[in-house]
Amino acid sequence: MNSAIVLETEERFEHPALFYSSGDEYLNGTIPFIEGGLTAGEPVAVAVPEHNLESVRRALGASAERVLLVDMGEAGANPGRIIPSVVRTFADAHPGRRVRIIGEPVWPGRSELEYPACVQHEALLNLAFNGRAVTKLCPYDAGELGQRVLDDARATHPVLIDRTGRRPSDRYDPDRILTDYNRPLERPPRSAIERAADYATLDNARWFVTAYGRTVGLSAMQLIDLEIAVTELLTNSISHGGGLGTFRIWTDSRHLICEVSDTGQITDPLVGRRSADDAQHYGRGLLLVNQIVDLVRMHTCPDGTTVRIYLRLPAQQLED
Amino acid sequence: MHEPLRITEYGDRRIGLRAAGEIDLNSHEAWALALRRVARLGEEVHLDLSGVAFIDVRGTTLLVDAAAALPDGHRVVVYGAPPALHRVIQVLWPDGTAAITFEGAQ
Repeated sequence: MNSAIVLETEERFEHPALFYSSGDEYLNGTIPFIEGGLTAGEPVAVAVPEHNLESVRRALGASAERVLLVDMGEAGANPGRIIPSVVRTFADAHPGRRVRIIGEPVWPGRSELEYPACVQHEALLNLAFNGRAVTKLCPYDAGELGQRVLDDARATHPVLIDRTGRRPSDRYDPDRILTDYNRPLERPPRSAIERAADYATLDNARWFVTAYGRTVGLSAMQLIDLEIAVTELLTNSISHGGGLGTFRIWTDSRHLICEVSDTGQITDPLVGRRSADDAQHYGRGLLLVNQIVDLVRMHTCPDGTTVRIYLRLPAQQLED
Repeated sequence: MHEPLRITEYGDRRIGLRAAGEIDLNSHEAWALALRRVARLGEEVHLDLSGVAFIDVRGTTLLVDAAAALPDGHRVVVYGAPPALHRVIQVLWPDGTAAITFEGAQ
């Protein structure tokens, strides 16, 4: 009886947000957390944007060698891949032990386009790691990020930490976030080209999008990723979304954008974020898509589903 | 435009099969059947995929699962794998696939 209760406490997912307003507050909130983990013998990973990663590395000194340091700007560029390839990979590498992770998926440089995927990621962490021995601290730059972002962080984190201390979030409500941010995507421009694909024309669709990608200057590697990603999205539509996938393709100043719509509804909020072994139906294809494109946005409702993928155009990559 | 997957078995000294076309939801069944048949034939089976222009996630998974189900010491040697096969394996099986060996074009 008692041991069952202890087990429950030990295997709880802890997910506090840290609101910081200065570099000192950042280090005051993160370094003791990291050192506490090392002292307790817990594996520790830090996945934050480059500039914060550097100050953590300096502050840790020699201890930095015992911490996995990850540039979130790189590993988490597409927020949809943070759960499968950063958090779960680290937790799974240390079975039977509590792991400690600092993850900073939202920073002032995140675009309006990326933000909904970031906040969905934060909400989904609570579902993905419910009952697992993971402690994940998420720093938020309270001085730079807007009020909406901080309000959302209060909804996605059950516990809040700032310079005044630590308290439960009275606005914790990850389902509110999943509902609010599952909204129709902005309409494609008139320049978007629309086609449909079914069993018989899937290969033709693949040929078409690859030719389009070549015309707008994607690299050879990106063309392969585009071909794979669009095939998986259309395959989901044909197999589970009513037999037909409608796709639209266009570019903006930064990306090649392709979306696939069908008449199915995706009911698993963790689709594309489960491990390959657990993935069902739409799952494994979307898991792969999350890994190979720069951003995924999705809207699903009883009327149908649209999944939109973004691949950065080469000129943009040179600028970065 | 539409090219169905064509699969032929090797008739020479090596055991294996040669595939040409595209492996996607139109050909998963034929691909799975061919993999099952050839996997039983010997310790080392050869797959010549140099005529395969594309393979999707399901097609790749069928190959990886077929190789994983082989008895200890058996293996699959893949020739001329399409870029998509390398990419999907790199992403979904980053630790590698022990029973599959990749060679260049045959």
